[in-house]
Amino acid sequence: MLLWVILAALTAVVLSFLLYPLVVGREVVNERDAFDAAVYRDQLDEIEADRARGLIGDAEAEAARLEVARRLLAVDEKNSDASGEGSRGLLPRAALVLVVACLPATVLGAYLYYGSPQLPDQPLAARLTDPGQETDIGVLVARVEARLRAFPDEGAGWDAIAPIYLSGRRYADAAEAYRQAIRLLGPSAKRLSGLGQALVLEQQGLVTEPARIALEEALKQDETLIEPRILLAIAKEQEGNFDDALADWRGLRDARQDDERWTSMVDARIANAQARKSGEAPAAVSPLTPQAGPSAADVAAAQNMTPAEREAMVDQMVKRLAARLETNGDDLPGWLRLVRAYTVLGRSEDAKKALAQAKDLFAGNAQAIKQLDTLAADLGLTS
Amino acid sequence: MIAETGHYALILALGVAIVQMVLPIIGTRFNDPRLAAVSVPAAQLQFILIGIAFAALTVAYVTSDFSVLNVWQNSHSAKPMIYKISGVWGNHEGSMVLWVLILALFGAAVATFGSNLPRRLRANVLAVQGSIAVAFLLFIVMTSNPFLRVDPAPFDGNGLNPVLQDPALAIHPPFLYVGYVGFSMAFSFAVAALIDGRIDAAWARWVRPWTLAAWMFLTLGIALGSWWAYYELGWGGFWFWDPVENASFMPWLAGTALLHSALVMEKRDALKVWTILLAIITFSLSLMGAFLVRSGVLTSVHAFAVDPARGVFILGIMAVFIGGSFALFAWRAPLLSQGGLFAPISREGALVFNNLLLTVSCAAVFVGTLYPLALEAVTGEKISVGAPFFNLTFVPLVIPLLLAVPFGPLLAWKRGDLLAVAQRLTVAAVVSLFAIIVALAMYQSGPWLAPLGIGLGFWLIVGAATEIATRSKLFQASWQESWRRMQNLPRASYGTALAHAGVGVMVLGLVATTAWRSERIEALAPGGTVDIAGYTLTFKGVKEGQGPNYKELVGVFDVTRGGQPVTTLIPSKRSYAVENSATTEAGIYNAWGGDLYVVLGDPLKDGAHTVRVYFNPLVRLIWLGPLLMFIGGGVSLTDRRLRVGAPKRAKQKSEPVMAPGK
Repeated sequence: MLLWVILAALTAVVLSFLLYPLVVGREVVNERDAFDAAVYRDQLDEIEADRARGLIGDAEAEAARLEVARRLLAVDEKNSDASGEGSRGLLPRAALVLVVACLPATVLGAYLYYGSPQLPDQPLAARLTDPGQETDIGVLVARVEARLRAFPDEGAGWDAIAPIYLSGRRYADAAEAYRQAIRLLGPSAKRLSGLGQALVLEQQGLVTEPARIALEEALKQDETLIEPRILLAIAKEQEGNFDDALADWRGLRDARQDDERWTSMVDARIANAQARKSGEAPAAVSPLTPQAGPSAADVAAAQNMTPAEREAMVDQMVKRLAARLETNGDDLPGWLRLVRAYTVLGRSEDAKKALAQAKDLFAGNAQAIKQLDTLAADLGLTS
Repeated sequence: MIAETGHYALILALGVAIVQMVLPIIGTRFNDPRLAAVSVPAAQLQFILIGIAFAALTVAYVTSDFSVLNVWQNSHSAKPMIYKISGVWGNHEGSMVLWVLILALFGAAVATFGSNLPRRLRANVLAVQGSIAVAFLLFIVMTSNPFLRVDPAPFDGNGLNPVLQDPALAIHPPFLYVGYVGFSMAFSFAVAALIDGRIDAAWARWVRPWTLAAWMFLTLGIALGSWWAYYELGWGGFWFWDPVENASFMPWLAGTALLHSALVMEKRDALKVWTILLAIITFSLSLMGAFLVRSGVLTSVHAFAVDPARGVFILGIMAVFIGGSFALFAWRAPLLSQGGLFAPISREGALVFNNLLLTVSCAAVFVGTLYPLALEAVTGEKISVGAPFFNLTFVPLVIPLLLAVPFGPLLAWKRGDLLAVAQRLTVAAVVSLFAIIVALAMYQSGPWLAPLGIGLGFWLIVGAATEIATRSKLFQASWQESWRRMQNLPRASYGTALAHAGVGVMVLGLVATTAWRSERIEALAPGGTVDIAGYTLTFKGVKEGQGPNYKELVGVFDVTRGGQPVTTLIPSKRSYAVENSATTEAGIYNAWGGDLYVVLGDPLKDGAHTVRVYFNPLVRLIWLGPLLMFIGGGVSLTDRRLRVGAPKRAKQKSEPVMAPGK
């Protein structure tokens, strides 16, 4: 609304100043000769002054004076010839009406065509400090990211953005944000737990060494946290340490006895762990973490096998993958999977060899090398 | 709201410009003073409105309002404040707004300070000025609108070409534009005179201050651009005969000719038709410069064809204004009264000689600039016309011109005495001969033409001083008498002498730098040294640095001369992350004797780097000369004679007209 008031006022002021001469005009238009004569008189004065100062000789001055005087005379003659011309009253009035009627309408029309009157100004500083206006999560994230680019040492920003990354499935970014927050604000249980979750989810459910350390630290600081305990229990299952895993699950079950959905879910995990411990076929397990990686069918199949069979199947899969990469090495995700698989199987020498091979293959590709290095670091293969 | 107000003000300015174009012409045609008088507030309001638009755009840049498309495309939140501001005109749309702002500034100046002009002439001049504004405002609103918005607003901008993030670049376009656009004033005066069918000595007197002001700023703008190229582009050159440079140089040559021919017209009532033609040509060349730079035709004729909207629009503007004014000229010029004849040996004769050579050299530059474009358009073949062409065409034309410069101011009007003038210039001749001999003795290895160039420079400088000395009877009359005369000399004489001496100073710099520049390109490991022109540079190694929006690799060089430490130079290579590009910053040690210019090249193995070192003798004079020309123009502009008084009765009447504007 204010915009329209400003634009209307601007138009009104401009029109009134612009058209003022049409309302209070003057007569007499042909003054050209008077102006010409003024110039020539000035020139005569200059010639006289130059001569007085001795800048030009007498003869020179006289010649120049004659010439200018001739021009002056010519003007005076014309001046006496000039007949007076009158003004036509109709013309200014017509012009006035035409301009008042057409100018604002045309300008407004053009403005509405090209302009965006509904859009407010959005200076950056205001957008950063006034989050109320923005609703788009992407813009909010972009805002904090821009802020963090400019001030990378603002821990609060990293702290705020990390859980958003985590829930937005940007696990690598989340892990990095948690790391920065921990660096700047110190390790809190919440941040360590978040870092652990991000690392696990980034590795598609595999609890790597750095993740385990972070989760244990988190738990040390705050024993009531649930997420680290779940992930650590899963870690123990992954290591084949089912006794400890079962103890953890039971502890978890007791933590929230009155929540039926919770207890039934944990009971399922307990049953699963027990079945796997004894080598029996486990019951169906409700996933606690988003599943990625091997297809659900593969997992289900694997869970229905005896440990020996399962090991054989995994071995078979790894061998197939290795053979495929041997003939067609241009498959970065394949190499990443192979390195990870060797590590899980405890064949760290093979993992290192595969890693070295992959790095040779992707030597020109900085992006790939970076991914390989990150994986190696996460799996503890670098040392 | 600020951005939208700016947008509306810009469109309203277009509306006002249309009124300014139409009503005054009708007024003068039908002898209605009221309609003619509308031209004054129209010109003033137009300036205020475009000022509002420009200010609004600047605010959007300063506050990083990325909801404005133009800001998003050309700015970035991490950019230093000065480059956020210069970013306003560092892009196509914003620079066009600056263009019309300056156009409106000149119009408003004529409206406000032009009370010495006959009403009729002023109305016509402002109407023509208004028509130029209409064309360019239409161009901006329709094809290059800086106020288009983005919704939702992106979070950060795309940056600004890092090469353009530089103080000299930040200020040189405004100067250039004042020059380019200022010549529109001469154009408007010329077309107004043609419309009116009346032109006389008084006209020349009225048009000269505007032409002089435009010429001054164009001179400084070109010099600043050249200075920028010198230290930013990283190879120590100062003039490349690049089409963009030529685009500003051609109006300068034609404008210089115009300045001198208007002088003849004022004093002798002669060369009238020629002066009108020059005024039209000068502004046409300015328009052509705008077309060359703005249409993208320079990058490639084909790039122009791919996105022709803007180029075709400017081409249309050129066709209308150049074609229209030449047609008007062909129709009306024969009706103009011719001036008197004059003898070849006279001040006016010398000025005609000046005009002849300036216009022909301008034509040479024109051919060298446009021929490659025409060839590419017709045959698709890309050729580049560089320094060799211009050295063979432009330079031989300019040398006789420069030789003649000292004669002009010393010759009398009407009938000059060449012999007497030659006698007065004996001192200048002796001094330049001496300079030639000294230069020959110092640089015996050639190039052989260079000492003659040095002589030419001294000839111009001492020749300019001779005029002042002659007119104040220095060494002839007593000291007191000479001093009194010096004080009484019109300021225009000092202006002329300063500007002509400035040309000489520039010639000295050009010749010395071109002929005796030394250059070393070496691979230096840390600790390595280079000797050049008596200086010894020791490479201390490189270090990394962090600027506001770039990272840089800085080379450190200790400079000594005869064992004495002189300075430390730190050339660097900057990389700008946002724009993903890099610039080279030369390390320059400025001294009157010449510049030491170091560029850090690519890294080699073991911490060594390619290093280019130049010594440019007297290079500073290249820009000092134009500065002197600028100052000379300013001194002339303050001369009483260029501030012509209005006739008494009109002065009293001018007050009520101005009242609403106050």
